[in-house]
Amino acid sequence: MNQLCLFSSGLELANLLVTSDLLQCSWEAISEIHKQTSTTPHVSYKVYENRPNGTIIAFASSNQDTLSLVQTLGRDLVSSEELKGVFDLFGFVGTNVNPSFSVHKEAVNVFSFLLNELTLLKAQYGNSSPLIITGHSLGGSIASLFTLWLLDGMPPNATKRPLCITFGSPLLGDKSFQQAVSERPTWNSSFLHVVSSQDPFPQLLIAPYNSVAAGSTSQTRLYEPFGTFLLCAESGCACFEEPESTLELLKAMGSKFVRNQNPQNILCFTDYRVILENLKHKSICKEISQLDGSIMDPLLAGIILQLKSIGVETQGDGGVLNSLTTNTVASAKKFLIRKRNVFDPSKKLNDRKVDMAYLEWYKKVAEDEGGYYDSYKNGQSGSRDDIRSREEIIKRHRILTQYWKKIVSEVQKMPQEVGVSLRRRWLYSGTNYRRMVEPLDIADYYRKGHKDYITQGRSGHYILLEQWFNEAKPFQVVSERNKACSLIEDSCFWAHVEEAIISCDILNDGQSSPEDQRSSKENLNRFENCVMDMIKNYEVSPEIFLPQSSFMKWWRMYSIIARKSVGSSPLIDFMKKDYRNYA
Amino acid sequence: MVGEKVGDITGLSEELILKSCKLAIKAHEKFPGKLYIYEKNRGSTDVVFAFAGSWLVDHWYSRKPFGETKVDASKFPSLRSLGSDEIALVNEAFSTRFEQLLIKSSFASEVEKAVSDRKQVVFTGHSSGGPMAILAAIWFLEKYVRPNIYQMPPYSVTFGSPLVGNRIFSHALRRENWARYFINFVMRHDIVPRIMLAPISSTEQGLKLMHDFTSPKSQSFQHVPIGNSAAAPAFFLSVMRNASSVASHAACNPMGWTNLLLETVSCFIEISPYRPFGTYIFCIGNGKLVVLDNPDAVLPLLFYCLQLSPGEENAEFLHGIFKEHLVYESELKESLNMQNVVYIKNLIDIPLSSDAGTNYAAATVNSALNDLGLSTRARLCLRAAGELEKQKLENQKRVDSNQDTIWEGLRRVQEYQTNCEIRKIGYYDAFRNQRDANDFNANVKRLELAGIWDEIMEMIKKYELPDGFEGRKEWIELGTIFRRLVEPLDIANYYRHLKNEDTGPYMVKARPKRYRYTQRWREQAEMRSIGSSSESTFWAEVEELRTKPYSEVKDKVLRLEGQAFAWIRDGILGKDVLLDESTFTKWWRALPVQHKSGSCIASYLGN
Repeated sequence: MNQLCLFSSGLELANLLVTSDLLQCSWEAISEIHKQTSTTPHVSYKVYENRPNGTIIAFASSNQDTLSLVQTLGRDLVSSEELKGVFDLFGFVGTNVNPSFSVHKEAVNVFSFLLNELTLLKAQYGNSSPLIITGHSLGGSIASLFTLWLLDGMPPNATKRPLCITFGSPLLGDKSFQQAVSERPTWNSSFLHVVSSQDPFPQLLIAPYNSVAAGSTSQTRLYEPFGTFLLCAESGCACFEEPESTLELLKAMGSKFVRNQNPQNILCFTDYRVILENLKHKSICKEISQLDGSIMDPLLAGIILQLKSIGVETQGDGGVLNSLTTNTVASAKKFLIRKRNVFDPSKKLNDRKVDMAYLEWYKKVAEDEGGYYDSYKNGQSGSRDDIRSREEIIKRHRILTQYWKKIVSEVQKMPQEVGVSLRRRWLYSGTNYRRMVEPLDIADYYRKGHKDYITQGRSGHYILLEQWFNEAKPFQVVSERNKACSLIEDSCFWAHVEEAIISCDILNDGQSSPEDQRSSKENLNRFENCVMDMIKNYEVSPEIFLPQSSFMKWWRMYSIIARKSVGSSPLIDFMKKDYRNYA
Repeated sequence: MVGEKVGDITGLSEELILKSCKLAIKAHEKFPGKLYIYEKNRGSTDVVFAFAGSWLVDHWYSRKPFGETKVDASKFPSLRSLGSDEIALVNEAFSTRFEQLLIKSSFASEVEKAVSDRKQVVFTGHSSGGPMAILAAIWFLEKYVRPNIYQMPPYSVTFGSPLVGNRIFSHALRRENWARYFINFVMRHDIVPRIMLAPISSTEQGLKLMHDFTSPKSQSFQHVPIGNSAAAPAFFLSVMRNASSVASHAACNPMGWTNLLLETVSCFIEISPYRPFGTYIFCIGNGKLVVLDNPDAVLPLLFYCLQLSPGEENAEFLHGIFKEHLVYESELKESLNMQNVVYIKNLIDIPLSSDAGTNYAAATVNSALNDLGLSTRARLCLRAAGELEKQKLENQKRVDSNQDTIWEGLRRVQEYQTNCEIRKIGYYDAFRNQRDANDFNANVKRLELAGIWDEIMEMIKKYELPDGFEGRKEWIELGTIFRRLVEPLDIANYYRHLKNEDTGPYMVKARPKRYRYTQRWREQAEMRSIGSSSESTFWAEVEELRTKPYSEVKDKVLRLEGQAFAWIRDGILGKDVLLDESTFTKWWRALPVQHKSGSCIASYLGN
């Protein structure tokens, strides 16, 4: 692999956003709420249907007095544990990897206050498309929460997702919250946060800015941005996605508020219309800032331009790049490389098909020895060739198991909705693998003299693969079979056979307790009915009827018992003659 | 690359370019009486057809917002992507004008005449005459050059032409190796080549202004009423803003931007689908020319080299911008004489800052970039376009290195086929039965080959290989051999495992890309109709037919027999399908006697 040449396109994305009218339309919708003087205490909203860009739902703080908002806004986080049982609505954000998280308490309070109305809103507009959800200051936080709520109900591969655009909103949650949202790339990509360097409000929940803070706690340090940020300054704008450097840049932009001793002077309402117009105008003009002629690395050049655009210093003493710049470049690099190396099991899937071919061949060859299950279980090794082929099978078996265990564990780590789509894609191969390979594990298990494979010995990844297969069934078109399948559908079939043989042994053993006898009998009855159903549906492969197979061994034991007790049953009839024609 | 001449780079003499330019401008005068003019010169070895432009809004946009439509596949069968089978988009108004030209004028017969006189044909157009020239050249390539009726490819030379087609359009022309016949001259400040990047809503007024400005009969000929109208600056600004959107949107891909927000946002905003293609020659205005042929680089340049410097946004500048559309002839006379040409081929090493440049070559490139007024941001876009191209070439190299492995694998499958035939069994049936170790080994080979090909198909689907890849002879040939030899094994495997029972017929649900794509490669390369080269799926057809009663599928049986007859006759389908024990033979022999006696393949299977 040659050296990767990385670029940062934060300027291009920012430019695309400001030259489209998307942001302006959203802000206009918010401004219309601002015009109405409302007496409701927190946040009010308005729906605009069929605007040029789609339906817009706008949230705005009713109180436009920034100063009083700044002074009254609570800064505490509330954790998902504390919310449990009180206001569980956002529990779905947690994932296996990030089970607990914290969000801005005030935002959740306002949301729960509006819950009834928001529920109606969700029912009415949740499925409209295209849909923009926008909000200003605290209204932006509500817009974000509302969007998350909508996203939760959508399939991960939905092509028409809502877009959430916030203006000058405070940060919403902690690092785990950020990570949990980022685990779902499609969720994270639905959020755009517009922040102006002139707007003090977004700075509220960022650590160094607490000069006005009343009752701020150490928790305020824990807020972390999620989604994409469009940072705007007089001189230009740029987009940032990597959370940590975004946080640092927000701090750098906000540092002037800290320096200013008299916050009242600057805490005026920020009108994003003016800001956006300025940026739109600037978009067709050349940037003035010049780059040092010696810089040839495009990522470095791109980041420097981005920082200069948002009015952040890139040089420290003596004209060298300051640590903010070098850190931003380093984390951008790490971020981009990580994204390029996302887990993709499909890369090796074709190799695994070769492994499966080896097992399939083994299965075929073993038909002469009573089927691959019994052949493997008995482990007969006559000639040297047999030993070699057995070693080959053990090797392939191991490789396949490692591969699928890894896939299952990766998928398990993913949030439910992301995993589901992946599972559907690998379902076919995964099912095939389970049906082909699990019998070998069962054979190993019973050869060692163990019992109760299904409850005691079954590997978790088989259980999950089967569970996922069953979950996906309703989405699959399955036509009725009229021929026997080549792999037994129930991958635990042989474990059932082994248990049935054990049950026969118990019945035949005069010294076993009556209780054991009864349960064995029940077990056998159940198994008999099961087998007959499977045969009717062509769900078992013809090889189970090979004379040396464990199934036939069971049948020889069971038929004696059954004839004594019942005399006739569908299976007894079937096994008299018809099974020879089963195919 | 410095010091080359325009004639050497384009393959078209300076003299012919100037002649084209002159005619292209002249063509406007005869409009609307004549849609085109051409120069007949008995002694000359070339014929130049020049198309008139028009400023009627209907001649630019057929509908809101951008007026694009699918190309007419019957006239332009090559204008699609082969892998994903996507048909290219063309500006409908331009393509309708071209259709009219074919129907209502003697254009086609005059071209025919030029061909029979063995002339070099050049199509040219200024302004919206440009799209006519471009479409005429593609039409000519499809009609004469592709079927090898005429070997001398035409040229399309445009001056200040608006854009005509989308990304697929450009991709297809590059795949066919035709892009080099399209030469587009663009004055650095000419607004017209950028117009199609904006929707009709923001250019309608501007088109009227341009009409008044350029028509000699109009009062405001060569005079923009900027003082008393806000329309001109509004037109310029909105075209530029849209161009800026398109450039930024397009730049995100070569930059490898993985932010999915872009995808989400794209559903909410309208972005022009039009993209440049061919060779672009930017005229800087001081006689210098800058040449580029990477479409990913040309697109951002269309925006960036017209980007305003501080203080430039004034009436005089705007007037200049309108005027630049009319100066091609005089400008080219000067610059083609001067031959101060910079051909920027290597985009990877271009300096990012205007004051860079230590050695001679870098300094020359840098001075060209400065002449175009390119900021660092613009240069980053060019670098990204260059890196993308380089990455594609490296991918191609990697893919090419698999060829030997593929040939070796195919040789093994071929051996398998021969061995089976010796045993009087077709390899399809042998493989379907999977009786001995040879069958198993063939299966492993099949899977190994599938792994290699699937990876290539994935790259094609994502456009990660050079546009020309699917037009390369060696790969088309390899793909065809692979498909004919190995696809029967995939079909055998499919029906052996009864996958049709739960998934449905192979052809409908399960045919892998590695066969679908490679079939289209061959059909395109050999000018066959779509679906005609389906010999490798013969067995899938047989498998489906043999499970159904004859009366239900009579027509299909007849069709398959017809095809099979030709395939076997031409040696495309192996004779092993006719062996006594073949599934096909057995099925066919069980067909009703009446049918068999009249069947075209009875002679193969008669007894």
